Amino acid sequence: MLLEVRDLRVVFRRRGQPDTVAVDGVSFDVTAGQVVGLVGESGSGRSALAMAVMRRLPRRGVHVEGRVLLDGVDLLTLSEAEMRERRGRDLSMVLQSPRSALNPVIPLGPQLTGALRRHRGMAKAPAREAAVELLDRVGIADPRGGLAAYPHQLSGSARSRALIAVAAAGRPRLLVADEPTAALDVTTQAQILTLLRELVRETGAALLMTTHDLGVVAGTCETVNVLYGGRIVERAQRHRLFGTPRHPYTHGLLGAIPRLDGPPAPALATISGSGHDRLPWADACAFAPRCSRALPVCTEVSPPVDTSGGRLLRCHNPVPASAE
Amino acid sequence: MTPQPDAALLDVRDLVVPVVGRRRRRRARTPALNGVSLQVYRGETYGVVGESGSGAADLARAITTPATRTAGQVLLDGVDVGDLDAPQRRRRIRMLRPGHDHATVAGLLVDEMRSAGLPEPDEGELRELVAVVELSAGVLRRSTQELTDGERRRVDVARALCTGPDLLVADDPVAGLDVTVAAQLLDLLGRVKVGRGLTCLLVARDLGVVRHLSDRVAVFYRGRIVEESPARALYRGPLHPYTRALLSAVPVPDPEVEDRRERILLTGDPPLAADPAGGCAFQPRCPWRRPERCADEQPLLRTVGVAGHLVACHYSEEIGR
Repeated sequence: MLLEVRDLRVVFRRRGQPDTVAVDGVSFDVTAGQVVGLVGESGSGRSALAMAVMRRLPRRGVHVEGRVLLDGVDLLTLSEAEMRERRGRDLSMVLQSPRSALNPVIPLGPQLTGALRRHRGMAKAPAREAAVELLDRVGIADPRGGLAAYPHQLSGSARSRALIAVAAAGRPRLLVADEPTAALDVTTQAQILTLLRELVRETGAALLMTTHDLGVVAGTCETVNVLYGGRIVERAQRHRLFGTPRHPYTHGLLGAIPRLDGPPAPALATISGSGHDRLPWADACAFAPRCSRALPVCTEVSPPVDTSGGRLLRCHNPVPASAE
Repeated sequence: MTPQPDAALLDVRDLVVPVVGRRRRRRARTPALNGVSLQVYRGETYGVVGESGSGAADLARAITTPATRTAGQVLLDGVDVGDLDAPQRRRRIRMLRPGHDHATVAGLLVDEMRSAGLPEPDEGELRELVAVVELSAGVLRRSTQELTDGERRRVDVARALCTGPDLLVADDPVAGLDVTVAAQLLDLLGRVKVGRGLTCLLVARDLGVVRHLSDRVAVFYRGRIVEESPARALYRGPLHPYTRALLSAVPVPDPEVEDRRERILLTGDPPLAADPAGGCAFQPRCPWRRPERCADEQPLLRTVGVAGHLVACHYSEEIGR
């Protein structure tokens, strides 16, 4: 097992205010070469989860507990120096906004060769050649000239691809992508998703991807985790999850997307309210206030986890498997 | 809704809008909108699709703010919007976009109506307005900061409707919203426009959203319309290569469909493409490009197939197969 996340909790603490539980006991695995999706709306804890795996959350005001095992080593127990050593080499991140993730005052070349020399111990000249190869691989039109370009000189799509090149430079075994295609045009999004898929296939790296868009997940991720209020409410292999969504939240999310295949739906909104309306998981189902299938028990007892039939499900009253 | 040729509420003719801001220096030669003509008929919803750099957002702005254009006409009921006085324009054409003002909901609505030259509304009218967007009357006394995302967007709809407009211009109304909240807003917009018989111009980047609400759709590329069609025909059989690429790029939340689909991946992206000298603007990225006409001859919009399906491509008949 490449990555094992066990009972991960992320709590944001602010003086004079009640604690905010962003991630509330999440466990999942990523095997080598696998693409795993974390899907959720704002407030679901997907970004906090990705950041916690990368250990990129600030120390002050954030409490992280549980275990994040990469090859059996708990990342949460490492010192900052040890972690810095691993970031980029063992695991690296593709951030939401390439504008802020790339260093604006350093040309692309040094940003890439820096990563190559540091993580793969290359000398200057071979690192330069490898950087050209990487830029060419991610589809930058003039890779040799691209080395001298500053991030602002690139188009949005090229910047996203350059960022992926930087992340992949150290040949990490785990790539964590937090909303890699948010705020991109659809044609650019298609380019980036295709690139990520190809990279994973070629390098054998695993990819952990967070998104709010089930459409993005459907073509990319093998296993899909649906997050709500900081917990995984449903997890299954993608064909199973999309074919027969059992959790009312997954079901509603799928219905809420205006689709291009098939006839237009007469109405989209099957879930009322927003991701911030939720109950504490301790003695209720967080989704109950918005759920159309809620029973009295849903606001009294936290739903147990059912892992039968190759699917994780956390619901008192799931959608029957035949209803579709 | 079947369009009636005599009832064009909005008539845009050869509109030219220059690029504003930082982009000006780099691309001074290419305007944001480069001779766009379109008609929006009474009671219909006209969808405009375009990625960044297409000019779709500039169209929305040019309609509500006539000062941005350098050539062409925007006629509302036969009168140029530039000739309407400001309050009247604000009353008849409303822009739906996220507002960030910090005030009570009632205060916002009263302000909007006053700036459109309408008499101050009484409590009953305000209650009616928030009821239309399916909010309770209690929301009137609350500040917009206290509202949830979904409620705030409903208030935006109420602000757009409060003057009883002829035309509603919605510029990417669901941008940045969660899927479930966006779905609620789209459903609401659908109900409101049918209930009030509103004429809408809907600009969006998301083809799914446009399809959900629109009767007719125009696809923009680099400041020009490349395809215009009744929504049904466009989604069933797109004719322009760019429309085909755009449709094929939209992810579908169904792995069975995703695995079978054939993607038309475009390389490069619009803003950096070289300025074509007289040829087709999409030609540098087009997978179906041919050496003969594409590079030198600007394709004009022409009817292909069903009536009302216009496309600006020399070879759309051959590509369609």
